[in-house]
Amino acid sequence: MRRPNDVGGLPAGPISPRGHEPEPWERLLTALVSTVGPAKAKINCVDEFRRAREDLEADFYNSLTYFELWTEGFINLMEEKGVLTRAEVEFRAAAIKDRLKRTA
Amino acid sequence: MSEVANAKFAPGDNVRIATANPPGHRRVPTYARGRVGTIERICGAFPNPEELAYGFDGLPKRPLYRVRIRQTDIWPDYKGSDKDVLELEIYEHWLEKA
Amino acid sequence: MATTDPHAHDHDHDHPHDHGHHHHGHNHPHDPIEVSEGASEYEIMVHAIKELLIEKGVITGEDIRKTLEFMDTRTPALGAKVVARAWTDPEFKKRLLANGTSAVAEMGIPMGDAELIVVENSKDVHNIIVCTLCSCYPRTVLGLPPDWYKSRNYRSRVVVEPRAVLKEFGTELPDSVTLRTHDSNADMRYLVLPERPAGTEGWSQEQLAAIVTRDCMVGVAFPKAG
Repeated sequence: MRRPNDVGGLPAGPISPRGHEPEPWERLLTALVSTVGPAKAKINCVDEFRRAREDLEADFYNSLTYFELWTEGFINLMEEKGVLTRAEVEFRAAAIKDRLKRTA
Repeated sequence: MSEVANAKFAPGDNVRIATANPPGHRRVPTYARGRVGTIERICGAFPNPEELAYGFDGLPKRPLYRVRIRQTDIWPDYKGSDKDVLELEIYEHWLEKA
Repeated sequence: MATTDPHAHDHDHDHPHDHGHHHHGHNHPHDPIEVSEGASEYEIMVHAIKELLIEKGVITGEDIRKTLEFMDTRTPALGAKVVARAWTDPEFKKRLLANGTSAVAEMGIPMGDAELIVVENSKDVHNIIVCTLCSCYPRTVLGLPPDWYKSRNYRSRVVVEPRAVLKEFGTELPDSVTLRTHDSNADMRYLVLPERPAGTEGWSQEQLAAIVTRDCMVGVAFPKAG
């Protein structure tokens, strides 16, 4: 049974040459992932992060964009390692939204 | 490229990639499983990513090889030159002599 | 695990606590990244993760800043310099093809945990790179990968119909040219050494580097003399 990332040779559509420069939050996410590495707290290595992304349920995996996938995989891995919980992330996200409304 | 003590295979050897379908994190794409190719080079020895992926140290290191496969040996309707090849990295424990 | 109380951190800016410097009034490139206006759910989640990781002492704002600063220095210009040197220095080229990792280290480019393999294009052989299983890419030589490289469609199709994919990129290969498709599926990273085009005789390394684009080093384009 293929994991959702194992796509070599599967039927697929045209390749769009247009892309985008990573947004600041995407760069931040990339930085977070590589900063929280084995040297820091033995809680992530490249292989574990890959595996955490692949573990996502296939339909959900396929519905996500690249950085959304990274976000989901990263949260799950951090939760697995006992670093933080998804509930904490959601709680804090709600607080950030409130903060943004207040300063808008 | 790298010297690896006790490497089972050498450049030029014909090898078959296992058809195994173990669960969990693997670095052998489904399209490559069961294929026969040639060792292009020994890349060195590295901790096993299949174990690193679950928080183990992946030791002892395992020899990693680049395997060259004819495209026409992978895809029945391959469109291109008969000489076109696909090259990828396979750990020793996925290989046997062909 | 205790939930971090958001009300203990009542402030209007998206600052980590131990980051002492204020940036009101000017925009320094390595200021902490702020939540943008109209931020998506995922952008907000990433900022939430960042705040929690810092508050829990896993990393500091300074750690993040250093990583971003390093990331900023990784661009295709590095790879272009390597190619230009290989085109003008045959001994370097030999070393580059024999051991990409140590050769680029000579130029101050660290590969980290990955190893670099450089594959050479010629009039008889063309190389193209992909990572079908995720998006492995020689980031310390080329910077962040483009969207198309990471896309499902590229990763699925380039292994099975690389010539059709090249055509979509505007590159048609005659059958006399052998196409090597490299799937970067384990610990190796790949850089394509394009063929030096005619019409560049006598060019300086700077002039040569200027025509080596990222797409040339992934294998979907050819450098052009003018």
